[in-house]
Amino acid sequence: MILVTGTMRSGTSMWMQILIAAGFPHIGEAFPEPWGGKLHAANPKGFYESQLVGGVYHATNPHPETGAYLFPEQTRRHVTKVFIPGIVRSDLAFIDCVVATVRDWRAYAASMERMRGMLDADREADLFDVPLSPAIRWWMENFGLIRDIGTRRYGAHVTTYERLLADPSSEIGTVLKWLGEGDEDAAAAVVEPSLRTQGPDAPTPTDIEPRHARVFDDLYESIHEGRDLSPSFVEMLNRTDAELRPRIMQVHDAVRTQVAGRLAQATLAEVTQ
Amino acid sequence: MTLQLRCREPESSSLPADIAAFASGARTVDAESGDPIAWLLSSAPSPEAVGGLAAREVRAGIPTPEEYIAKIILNDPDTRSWNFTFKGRTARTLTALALAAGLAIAPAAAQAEHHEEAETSETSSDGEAEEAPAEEAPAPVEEAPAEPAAEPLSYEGDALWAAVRGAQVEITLRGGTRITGIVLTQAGEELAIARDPDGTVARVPKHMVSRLRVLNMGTSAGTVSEAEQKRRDKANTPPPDGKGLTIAGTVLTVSGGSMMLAFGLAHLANSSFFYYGAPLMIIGANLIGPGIPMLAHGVAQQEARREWDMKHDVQIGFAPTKGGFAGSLQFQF
Repeated sequence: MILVTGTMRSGTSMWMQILIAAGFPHIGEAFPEPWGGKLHAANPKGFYESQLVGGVYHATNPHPETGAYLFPEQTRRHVTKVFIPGIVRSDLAFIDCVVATVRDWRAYAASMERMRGMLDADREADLFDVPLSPAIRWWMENFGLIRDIGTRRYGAHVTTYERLLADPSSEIGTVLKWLGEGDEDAAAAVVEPSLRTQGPDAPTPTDIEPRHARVFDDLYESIHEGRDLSPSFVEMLNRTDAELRPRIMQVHDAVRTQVAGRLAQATLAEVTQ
Repeated sequence: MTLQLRCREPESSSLPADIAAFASGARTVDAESGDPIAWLLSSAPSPEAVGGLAAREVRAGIPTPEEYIAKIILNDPDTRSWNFTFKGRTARTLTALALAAGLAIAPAAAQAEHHEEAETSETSSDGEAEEAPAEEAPAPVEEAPAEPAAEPLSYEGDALWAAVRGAQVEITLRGGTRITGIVLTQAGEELAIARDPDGTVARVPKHMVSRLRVLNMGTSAGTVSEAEQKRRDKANTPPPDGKGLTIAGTVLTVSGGSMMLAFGLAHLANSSFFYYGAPLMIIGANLIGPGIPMLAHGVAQQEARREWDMKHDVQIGFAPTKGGFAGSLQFQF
């Protein structure tokens, strides 16, 4: 499969639309069933998500209810969106190419807050209700993606959302050449920079230390400029991750507790009915 | 030597699979995917207790590009490592000079490299090195702690490696690559490891070491016992070449033999010569008696010396590689 990945709010939906317009078959719907009108405003052209956003692995393929199974050979050129934690979970047999998009971490944090506000209005979903600093989440996911690429060494192209908006033809052309096919003109027509809701002037989150913010900026800049990561830079990323790990694990534990509580409430509700 | 993120093609590893990393320890339990072992436990297993797979924290970082590790292990010319090779009897002299020079040059070279890197970092335009925390900047030699004992133990320090010098160790690098061999020495931020099984010397940056396992403590340099030192001295002292014994034995044997031959011929010609020539026979026999054993012992000593010489030759080789030359320096003890 050709997996489109990134954090939420980083342009994954736009890349799905681009590759679909370029002529690739896809897995996923523009607006999955539970997502109603509120989220439509956040992404008017559709999200193109499927049950595989959490990864293509034993828990999702075969389909746990129907038993339908997607063979790797049947889906080599199918495009589907998988968020970064799902990429890490996915079996290597299904990872033919990964198109990854990274958004500026300040803009990402602002966009996540905006999305959270939209959901808080009527509590449609708990998807964004995670007590995790958006900036830390940005780091955790993007670091995890680079680690996974470096470790499992699958074919991947990592770019930035801002780079795509700045020069859609060039970036899309690069990716389609790398993929070996696709209608560049139709694909480039998808990109509308006016869709961007959070610009480069987004405020710096206050919960990140300046030295960590500099590392975040350096990582983003390296990806944006298309630079390879030197061993010394990789060492610095590893050190930063080790320093942020206690905060990540605290939130990890909190999320687990929160999820367990919700499951218990749901079970209790079922029993009492 | 970098991690490529744009338009990268899939690749695999050219290093051996690190199967051992998965082999040891308790059976892992995946409590979140219905592992039967987890059902038998009274409560949810803690990751520390049973190594629960699903709940296990990912502590590994981004692996260092394998290409970089390979360059270190293979002593690629790009890592600024050179080997020299000589063959023949003069090799021992040259080797001694090379070792002496190496001992003097290695720390200086490491320091020079260090300074060079620091200068590069200062003038770097990409800002990567500039952002490194100030506390990790290399300290000048003159500011090194006076007492090594006060240094905390760490893979990047000196104290730990000094303690295992001469030991056979297994070093796991970040990224999982393992190197087995003997710790020869250390200089600044690097180690010199004589790799098993061929003794190829590899330079290993200390900061890349993620795990150390001592396989055989061996004998640390500087703490050799008197008996061990005598044994080593004896092993390194060449045996007698046997030339003197051979020459002396040859002279005695030939002289004695000639006398006895002359006595025999004269006796055949004239039987009365026996009484006159008896002293000739006695002297000849007395010369041959010690002459033959001396000759045999001398020949044996020459053979032993020849074998010792062959074992203590130094073999050197150069081979062109991509972007330079690779050399090997092989000592045989």
